[in-house]
Amino acid sequence: MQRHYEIYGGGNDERMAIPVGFSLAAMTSWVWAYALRLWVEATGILVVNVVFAVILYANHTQLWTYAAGQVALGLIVASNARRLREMAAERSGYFYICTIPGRGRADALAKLSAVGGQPLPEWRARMLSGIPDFAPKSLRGLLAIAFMTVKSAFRSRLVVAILFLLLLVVLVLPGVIKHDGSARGFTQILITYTLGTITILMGFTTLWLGCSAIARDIEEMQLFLVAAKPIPRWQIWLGKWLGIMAINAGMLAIAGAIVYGLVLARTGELSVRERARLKAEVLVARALATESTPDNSEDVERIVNEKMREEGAAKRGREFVRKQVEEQMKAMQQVVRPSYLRRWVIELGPSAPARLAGKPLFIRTKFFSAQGSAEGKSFMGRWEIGPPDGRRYQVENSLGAESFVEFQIPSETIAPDGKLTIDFQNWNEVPLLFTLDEGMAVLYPEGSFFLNYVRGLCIILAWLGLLASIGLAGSSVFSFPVAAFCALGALILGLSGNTLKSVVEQGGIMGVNHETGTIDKPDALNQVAVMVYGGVKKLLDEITGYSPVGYLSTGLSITWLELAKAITFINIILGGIVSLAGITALSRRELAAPTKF
Amino acid sequence: MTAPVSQAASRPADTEIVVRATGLSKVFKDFWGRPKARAVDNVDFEIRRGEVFGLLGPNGSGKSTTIKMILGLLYPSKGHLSVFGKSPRDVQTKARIGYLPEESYLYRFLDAGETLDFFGSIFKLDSDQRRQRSEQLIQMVGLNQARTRTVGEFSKGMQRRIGLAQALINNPELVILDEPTAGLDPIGCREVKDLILTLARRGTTVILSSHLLSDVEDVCDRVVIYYGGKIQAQGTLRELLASPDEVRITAPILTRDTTERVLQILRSEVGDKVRLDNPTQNLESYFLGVVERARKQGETSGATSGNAVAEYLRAGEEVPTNQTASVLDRLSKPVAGPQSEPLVEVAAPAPDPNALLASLSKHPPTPSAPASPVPATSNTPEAPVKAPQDLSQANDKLSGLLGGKK
Repeated sequence: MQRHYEIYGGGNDERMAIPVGFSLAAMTSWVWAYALRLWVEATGILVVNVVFAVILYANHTQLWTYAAGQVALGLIVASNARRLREMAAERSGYFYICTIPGRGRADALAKLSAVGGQPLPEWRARMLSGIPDFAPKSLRGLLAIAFMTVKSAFRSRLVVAILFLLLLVVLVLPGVIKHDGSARGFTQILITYTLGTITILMGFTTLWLGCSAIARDIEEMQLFLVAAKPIPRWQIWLGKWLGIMAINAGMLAIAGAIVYGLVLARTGELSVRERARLKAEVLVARALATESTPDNSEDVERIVNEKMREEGAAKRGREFVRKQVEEQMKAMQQVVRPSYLRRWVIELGPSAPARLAGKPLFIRTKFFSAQGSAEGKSFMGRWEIGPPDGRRYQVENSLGAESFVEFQIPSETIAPDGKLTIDFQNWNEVPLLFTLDEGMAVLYPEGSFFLNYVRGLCIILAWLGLLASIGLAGSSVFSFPVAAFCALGALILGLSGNTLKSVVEQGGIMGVNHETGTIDKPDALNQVAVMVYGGVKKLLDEITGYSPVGYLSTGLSITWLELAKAITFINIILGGIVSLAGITALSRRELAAPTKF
Repeated sequence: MTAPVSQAASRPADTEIVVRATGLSKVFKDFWGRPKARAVDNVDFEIRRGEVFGLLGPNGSGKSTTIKMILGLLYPSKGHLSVFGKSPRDVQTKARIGYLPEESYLYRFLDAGETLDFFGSIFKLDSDQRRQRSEQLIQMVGLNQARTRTVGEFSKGMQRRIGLAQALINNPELVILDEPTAGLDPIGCREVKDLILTLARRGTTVILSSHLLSDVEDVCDRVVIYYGGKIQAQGTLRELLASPDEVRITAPILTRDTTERVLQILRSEVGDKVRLDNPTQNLESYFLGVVERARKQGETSGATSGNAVAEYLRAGEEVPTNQTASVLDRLSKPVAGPQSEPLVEVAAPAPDPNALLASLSKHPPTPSAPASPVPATSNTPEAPVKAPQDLSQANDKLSGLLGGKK
């Protein structure tokens, strides 16, 4: 098979042929390096190998995880075999002569000898790993910028440093976090903490990269030269974004794979029963079904009409009365008084009995005491689940208030028409409140944890994409420090949803009545503030609604549709607006003019 | 424009105009939009295909601002500027331009090959083309031995060399060189000047901005001289530099008697204003000779004297064989005689040269020749050089045009 060989020359007319491209032999990593007497490289690879093995051993991982790591390391070494050999050759005083196509080393060297040791002009050029020819010509500039951004991050050691931190997080954090002692609790905390920390760490890295990618290039004048070439500014901008996202995707894939490997490794240590439970509750993608909201409009209208006939009601106005009635109706639906029974009917679809036969179903409930805080207290109740006219599953249990609790039910409780009827009898002396949105739900398995996990990582990546857009947009206008300040400001604003919420609830920002907690007569300023804060809050609520970590740690399914919605909203709509602003700013900017701020 | 602005009569009127500036002005404003500096003020000029056009002026006179406007990196405040008949901001137009900035604005973590590959990709070249051109350019600028070192490790001169290479990766029709010889050693300077001449011969337009007046004088067809954002003078070098009231005669070595007789004739015509001396070799030629000797004795890890101009840059040009050799090689070979043009084409009244030559031919030189003008320790080739007096005259003249500064 024909391949290219780089010919290196040393003293005494010595010649060395180094194959270009992937080296299968180098998959054996340090063994290969030692065999070729690449002492420095071999020792470096061996040290990495040992550290990796020690970390895996400390985490009680199985042998296959070590094998997987070996394959990954082998792939890295094999892909960089030429570079490693070049470095060693240059250290030994060899220098590059030419690149010759040949059937083997001997063939390549013979070709050079045949021409008297003076390489032909077409052999002089070195093989470079640049933009391939199959890339469309119109996009080569964009890809070159993206490739350059990745290279820049690697060669500035930023990626290496962040990767090191990420590895530290995913490998050390599980050993120091506290949990409730159960396998379920540990796995949930492992996923929550590691993925949460990874998201925060990579979020800041992305902002940093975004803010520096354009601003630094302008300050150090590299962009000045690039913009003088035939590449539209939007391609420069998008190339930078793509480069940052490629770095993010790579780092997230590595960190995510290690977390996934650790979770599975821990699962392997559990008993069969515990493992089955974990796979039913956490390491699964479970769909969530709730009761459809009943249409009370006719009842509300009837009651409002009755109320309006009462003395005094008319003075308050029909809308005010309607709001009151709606609230009362809502309260009636949510509250279960002592000794009373509340029924929920949840539609799972006609195919549910067959589809979910033999699979674990879970009731997930969250309730509050209607008389003050009940955090940490437990409340007794009796549950009857199944068709009202058939065989029912009955259970009496004591459940904690104000947090989600789950208990398993058999799949036979689903009626042939796909309906699941749940009755709850309150055995306590206080009324219990089950909110309409989170009070009662049934969870059923609909997919594998792996795909769910991948979708979750994709949503994290979508988030990082938005942060990259914010950073790049900032650096399209401002200098690096100002861009970083603005981007961080935007991030803090995004995380301070409570302030926005309180402003909206109290009706403004100034003149709050401390007794009622609201503004009695909002003036124009407060009305504007409520509009602005309300708008921002709505936007942020929409964005923060896509939180994959919580879903993954509770085994809830992130569907493809939800992933598509998240990408559409986070990257295409919101990210698109930010990107458009950034691209416009960069396109209009006089790059050679001094930066004003 | 206040000064001698005389468009060259020799310039063909039908040649394509590559750059045209009309009433071009650039005003820099502060944060509040108040005018801070008028960098370029109502400038008019035209640059035609194949010209080597020099931009001269002291620091802050508006040269770089003009170049940045031509590149679309700054936008004119007033007036009109077109490059190849289009706006300088037109992306496709930029595919026809090569630009060497005044400083190294390259990515410091890339090596020479990666740098050229990156810019080749931006010009949408195929990988084979990028590879071949990169190789030829690296050879041309003499960075073959330093190809694995990153640009950040390069000396200033080496950075200029790789900068020059990236400016030519697209085989441009218009090359803009901002201080191309700054930081280069004399060999590099000579090579850059040769390159400019080669490019110009094959129809490439070159805009050269430089503080080194000798560089400009060596290669430029026309120059504009800026001061305070305005063009103070514009025209061909011959128009700007010719001394209409002086004449110079160059001859082989003469005997003392012959010399005395020539002087006598001349003095009878112009009195004591006659000056006689031996032309001397300039420092550039001497230096090139010394380095050539050293090169034959050992290697260097730095930049080397480059090879021939990259093959793709010479395509279609009938290059004299000696132009494809390296500068040192060419300078090592004997040449027929001085290539510099004698400054005799002046309109001023002068003695009849035929009578003078006739007088000289009657008295052949004697074997007792005077000392050689070339230093005995040098094996210096006969480079195409001008006498130092030429440079000093040019400098004096250009300095005068720049407001009396030297």
